[in-house]
Amino acid sequence: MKDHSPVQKPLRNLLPYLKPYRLQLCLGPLFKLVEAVIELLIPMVMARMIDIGVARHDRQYLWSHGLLLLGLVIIGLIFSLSCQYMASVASQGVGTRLRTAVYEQILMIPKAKLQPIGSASLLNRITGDINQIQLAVAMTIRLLSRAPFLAIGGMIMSFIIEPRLAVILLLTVPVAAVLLYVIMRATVTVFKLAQKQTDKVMTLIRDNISGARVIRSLAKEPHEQAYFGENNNKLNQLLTRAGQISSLMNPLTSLLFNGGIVFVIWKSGALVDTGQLRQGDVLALANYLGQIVLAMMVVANLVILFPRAYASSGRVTEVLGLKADLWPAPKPADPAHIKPESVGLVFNQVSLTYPANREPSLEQISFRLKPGEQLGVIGATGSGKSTLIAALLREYAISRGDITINGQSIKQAAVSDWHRQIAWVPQKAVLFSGSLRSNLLWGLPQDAPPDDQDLWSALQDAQAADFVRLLPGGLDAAVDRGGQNFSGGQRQRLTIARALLKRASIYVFDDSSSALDYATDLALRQAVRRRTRQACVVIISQRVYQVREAEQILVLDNGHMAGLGTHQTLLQHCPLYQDIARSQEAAAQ
Amino acid sequence: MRLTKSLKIHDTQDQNQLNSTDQRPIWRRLLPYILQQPGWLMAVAVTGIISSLSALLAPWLLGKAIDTLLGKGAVRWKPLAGLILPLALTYLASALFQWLMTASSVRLSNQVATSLRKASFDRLTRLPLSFLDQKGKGDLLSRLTTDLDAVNDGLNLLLNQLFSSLILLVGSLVMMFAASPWITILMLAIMPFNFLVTRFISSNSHHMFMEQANLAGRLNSYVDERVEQADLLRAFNQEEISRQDFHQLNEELYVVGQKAQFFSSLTNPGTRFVNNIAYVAVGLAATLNALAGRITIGQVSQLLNYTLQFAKPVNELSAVTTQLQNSLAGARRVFALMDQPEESDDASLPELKVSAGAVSFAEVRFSYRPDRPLITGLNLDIRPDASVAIVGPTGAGKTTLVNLLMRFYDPTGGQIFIDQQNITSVTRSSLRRSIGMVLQDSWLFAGSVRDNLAYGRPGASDAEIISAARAACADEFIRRLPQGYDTVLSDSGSNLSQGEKQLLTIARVMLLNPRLLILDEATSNIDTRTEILVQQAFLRLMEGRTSFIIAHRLSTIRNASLIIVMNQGSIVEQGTHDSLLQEKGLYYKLYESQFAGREA
Repeated sequence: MKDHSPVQKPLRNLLPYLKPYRLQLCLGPLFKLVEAVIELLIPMVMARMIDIGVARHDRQYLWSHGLLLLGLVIIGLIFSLSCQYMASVASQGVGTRLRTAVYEQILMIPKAKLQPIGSASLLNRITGDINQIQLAVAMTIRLLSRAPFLAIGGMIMSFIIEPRLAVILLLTVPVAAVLLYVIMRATVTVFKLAQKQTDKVMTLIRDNISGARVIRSLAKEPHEQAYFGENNNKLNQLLTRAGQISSLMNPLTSLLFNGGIVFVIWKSGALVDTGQLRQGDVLALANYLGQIVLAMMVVANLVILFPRAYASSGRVTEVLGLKADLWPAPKPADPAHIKPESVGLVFNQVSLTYPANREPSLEQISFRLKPGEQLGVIGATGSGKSTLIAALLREYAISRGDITINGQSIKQAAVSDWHRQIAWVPQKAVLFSGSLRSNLLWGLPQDAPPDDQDLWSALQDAQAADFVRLLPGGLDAAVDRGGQNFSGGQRQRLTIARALLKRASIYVFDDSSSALDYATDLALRQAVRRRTRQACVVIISQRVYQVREAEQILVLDNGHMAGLGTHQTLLQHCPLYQDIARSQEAAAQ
Repeated sequence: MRLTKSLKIHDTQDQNQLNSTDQRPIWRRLLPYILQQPGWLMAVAVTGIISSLSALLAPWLLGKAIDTLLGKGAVRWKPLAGLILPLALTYLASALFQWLMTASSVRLSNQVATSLRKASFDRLTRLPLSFLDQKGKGDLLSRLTTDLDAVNDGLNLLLNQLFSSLILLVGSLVMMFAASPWITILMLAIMPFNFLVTRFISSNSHHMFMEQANLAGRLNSYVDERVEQADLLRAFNQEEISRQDFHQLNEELYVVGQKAQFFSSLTNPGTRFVNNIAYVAVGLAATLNALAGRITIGQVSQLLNYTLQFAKPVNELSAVTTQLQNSLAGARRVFALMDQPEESDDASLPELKVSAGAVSFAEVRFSYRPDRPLITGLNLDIRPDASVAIVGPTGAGKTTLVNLLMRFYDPTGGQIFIDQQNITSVTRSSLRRSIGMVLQDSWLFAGSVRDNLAYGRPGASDAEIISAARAACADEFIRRLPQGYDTVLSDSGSNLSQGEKQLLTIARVMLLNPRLLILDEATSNIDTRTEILVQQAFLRLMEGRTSFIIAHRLSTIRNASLIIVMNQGSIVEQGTHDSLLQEKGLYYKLYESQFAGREA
């Protein structure tokens, strides 16, 4: 179940994203090559103008070749512009596709697998890391063809002039390759650390924005500033070190090839002395060698980008390689023939152990809930109530047992089909920036949007209609990030309305009316009853009065079932439930 | 449509700065950060000059060396031997100083980005809550990371190229001038064209890079808002719709990004084109002149060589200029953040001294939005040691009172006093430190449980931490965590249940032992049996101190010495539980509905 392979071959895993741009990736460098050839042709034509035109006093020749040159310059411009255009399309395109792919993973991958990576790191990967890959693609297209072309051309010309000397250059090539490899290896490691440190810095920034109230209430700003400074400096050190190591590439390459030149000059002394080589040949040789050095420097400048992009693609492909399935081998779905006894929601001996833990957080939970029935879930903080929801919502894999909705197992149903049957009101009431309407329309098929009347009736049932009516814009009132412009209680009621609008067979309320006053809560519970007559309802609560009317009440204690039954039977037979009920009655007195 | 409307940046000041295209103010502000590192700047300059000079010297020595190879039997060995070593050393020096220059410029540009990141972070911690509440986390995050990366990269490129290109430019100018002044003047006549091309491209790409950075910020905001709510999106089958929304934003970013990248990458072909045209024109003119016998062939080739040589640094500098626009766009966004007005400086003010703990509100007025007044003339006197409960329907302004008392927001009128000291005339930190606060939304940071508990009192001993955790009924579940008190809370505690997180924040305040206490729905996610124990602990803690409790469950506050009933921003009733019941007002109604519910 471990997703090893993508981490080890980041480049191969990027290939599918490069593939749509194979035209640009091939033609771009080719066009650059054409431009390079033209760039070499221009001085040659100019030389002919001098050698032939001026020598023959041929004015016509000069003008026609002048025009030819102008044509070449314009063609060169067109080719180089095309190359730049292709580079921009391909690099930005690859980046865009990667961003979409990573975001899709964020949407698809259950918490169990994404949580170890962390939100800040995911954000960093979708922005910073993909930027690095984008840059590397662009530079590769722009620089890849020209430099090797000049280097190889120079090499061939040197061989034509004097193979014995040129061989020395050939020997420097593997040395240069080893050099580049070693430096790359060293920098990849440091860049990986640097990206990790960037994650940390981003975590601190996010924490400081979302926790501003707490941090200020404790007057911890100086501490936060100091701690950020520390981590910021650490990032600085890592990036500086990585930059300084990788900037060795250019000088070392040029030193290597310039050393070759010195050697060639020294050796050519003997060859010239014995008449095997002319002075002009040495001059030409030196020129070609210079050209090779320049080309190799360009290659080195390009290669400098790779360690960082490589480290980044490892981080991106790690996310891309995650598989959405929670279970190793999902069995093929059974053709649905629902037996009457399996209609509804069934938990059968369900256990769940979180990946980081040894002890199970839920153990052998069983209940059967028929449509129209309510299940109350009650228990102490940390007794496993939220884990029960995480299991039902497929955010974490159940380690044993089975959950079925209308006879279909959680391990066989497609994720979206499974979720379609559940309407969930989370404990933490969160809305999304947009309009009230866009938030309410969430759980509904887009092709058949409900009319305003439906929306108002859901708001009415969620006890939200009164305050929504007072909002400027009503249903189209603006919602700020997270729903910050609503009070906690208002947010809770809006998230309830959002869930009530969804046509589902299971409704789950996870302690979702804790911020509501009692009168509102009572009206809400009555409306929910009316609205969900055909569905199973799971109500998680701290309060006995919120679940006492449920057909069944599940009492959780430290992940175990401490009791299952009606209010009355539990009051008689379940000591823990008696305790809870007594504590609340005592508080009410 | 859904997106564009909502993700618009609200505040206009930030927006105005982001829309401006004048680059000079950005440079003026960036420069001090560069000059803060005079040593490294000097190092870049000196090593850059040495490495460029040695890069110029090497070909000259090489030429000299080749000159000694006169022909068969005529190689002048002695001068050749004398030249080989200096040549090798020059190459060595060139490489060494090139590395030193790059290493220094990497150091310098990273240092600039680091200082800017620190300065903007510090600013962030001083910005009013109203700004942070409104602004997307993602966009601010993008400024401190992506935008500063661009500043770093551009600066590094500039520093790397600046000195070597200048040396080359000056060097070839001097040599050209020495060879032929009028050719030099001719060369310089081409410069304005290059300059125009560069200027046109760079000012346009600045605008595009700006647009790109702003869009990237929006994209970041979009993801940031959803990355922690992915389970909610899945549960509502929003994957496809959110994918489309993201895709739409991402496509917008693609269009802008591709345009910016393409346009900015026009500089190199553009200036090369101008240079090539110049080369052809010079070549044609020179050859025609040579034809007429006005200049020699040698002069023609000299002329052409200089044209080429001169073009190289000009090309490089104009390429850098364009690439720099990305950095300037990033820097502009960072400076716009740093220009946000921060909370007023209070360092010179005295500290708040709480003795008795009397709190009073005098004619306090407040609204979050100017067009929608919330609190209009609120008066309230709370005697020392009181336990004050604030009740009322949701949206009545209960949490707003907390915001005002903690000075997260300042009233638009009126004053608030603690022990006869106006809270605006003391330091914010002393005010806030005097008040312990537990909010409904628990906030924990990525760190160990122990560090989170001791956050308000870093020196606390293990025994104190554990006894606070015990009082908050958190000890038991903490011990059950994989590493107990050393368990690291990943992603701000997303591996805990809401109730457990709330218990930890309560323990954090228990450890503080504050003079005043605010509990805003502090136990709403905790089961009732635990809640009773926690409340008893709070009672012990707050004996003889002033406390504020906001709660919907009236049963939890009936022993309060003062109950304040709020509705629509005003206090409609106040008194004790019994007196309020007798008044038969809103409190009575709220209580009745609860009582009735229990009977049913």
